Amino acid sequence: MRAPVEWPIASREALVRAFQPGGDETSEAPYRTLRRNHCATEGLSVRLRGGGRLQGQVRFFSRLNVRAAECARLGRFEQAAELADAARELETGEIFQRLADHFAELPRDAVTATVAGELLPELNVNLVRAAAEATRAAEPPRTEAYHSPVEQALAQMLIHHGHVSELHLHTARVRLRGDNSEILLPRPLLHGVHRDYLGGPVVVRTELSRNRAMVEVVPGIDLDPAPYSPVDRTDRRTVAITEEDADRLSGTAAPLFVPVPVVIHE
Amino acid sequence: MCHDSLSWGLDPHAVAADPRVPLLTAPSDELIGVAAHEHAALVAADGRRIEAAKLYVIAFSLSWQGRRFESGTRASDVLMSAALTDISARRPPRDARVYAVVHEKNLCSLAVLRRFGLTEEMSRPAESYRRVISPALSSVRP
Repeated sequence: MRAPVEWPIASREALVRAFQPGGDETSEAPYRTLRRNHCATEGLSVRLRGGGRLQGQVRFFSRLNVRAAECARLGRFEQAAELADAARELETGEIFQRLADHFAELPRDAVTATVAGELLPELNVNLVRAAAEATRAAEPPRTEAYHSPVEQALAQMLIHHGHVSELHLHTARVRLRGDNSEILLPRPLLHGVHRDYLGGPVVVRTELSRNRAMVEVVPGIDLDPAPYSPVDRTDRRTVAITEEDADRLSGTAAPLFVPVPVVIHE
Repeated sequence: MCHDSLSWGLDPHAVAADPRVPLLTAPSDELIGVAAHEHAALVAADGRRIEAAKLYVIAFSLSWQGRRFESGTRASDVLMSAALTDISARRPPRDARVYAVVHEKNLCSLAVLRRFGLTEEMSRPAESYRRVISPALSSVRP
């Protein structure tokens, strides 16, 4: 099974956060700055039709825009533009268009949650996987100049892919693909990206700057579906049904058949 | 299976689903069988939600598999009745629908579930697994 990869889509707020961490993520100005400097795309606008009536619009972006915003923050404008170009190609391609069409049929809350990385039962996760594969293939290689081989090695070591292996009240462990080592994270970071459960796929990015480290947890997605287990509570396939299933189950339920009277002792 | 079921039922992260693990024991305290169920709503692609109880486990100790009590009643009938009675007693009620996911080769379990009214077959959650549920009233033949 391959390592999980980053969730392929993001909100405009995620772009703004990557460009100005700690700032007002709802502010329009940072996004306009990125657009003006060719470091972000216009994203994909989806007219929501869930429930048979128009429910407004939602906009989402290729996650490569978040990488572009990060590069722009670090002054790497050439790389930012390259990432934005790759994002634009993805967003105008067939897979992202199919994703947009799928989103159009979902309720607004479901689309917002999905853009944020939540794996909802009603989500066509195979489409998201396809988008993640396409993103992985389209992402330009990192080309920043390093001052030494050690610096280069260090930079490359600071993107970790793994799955949540332990959960405690305030902390969580993520088991990393490759050497099976584990890293300890504050649990709220996982909660913030809807991966606050055992087996949750995540990508942990650590940016080093002199004596500071900025840790970002990105919702991940497994490109290879995990083997199915009917007793795994986190496997959403168990509760995801088709619309035909829901049609057949509509109406009053038949009474349960209980042939043997039983008394339950607590 | 009993130990795994108890661990499953006592998982502090699953409290919201109200997991239950009814145990069937003999007067001698010998464990006959264990069931496990919890609230697990089904969700359709268009957002529709079907409140339901999921039967996770119906299992028997080796010495009780296929056996009957002195009264002639099948042990499986007693345990299934206990599970369904327990489901019906939960508050808020979740006995509107009961479903189970079973490997397609587990014909024995599928037969028991069918005997207890889980006769409607839904789409498969994964290859090799069948998902059966109690039907809508309109689907039940008189």
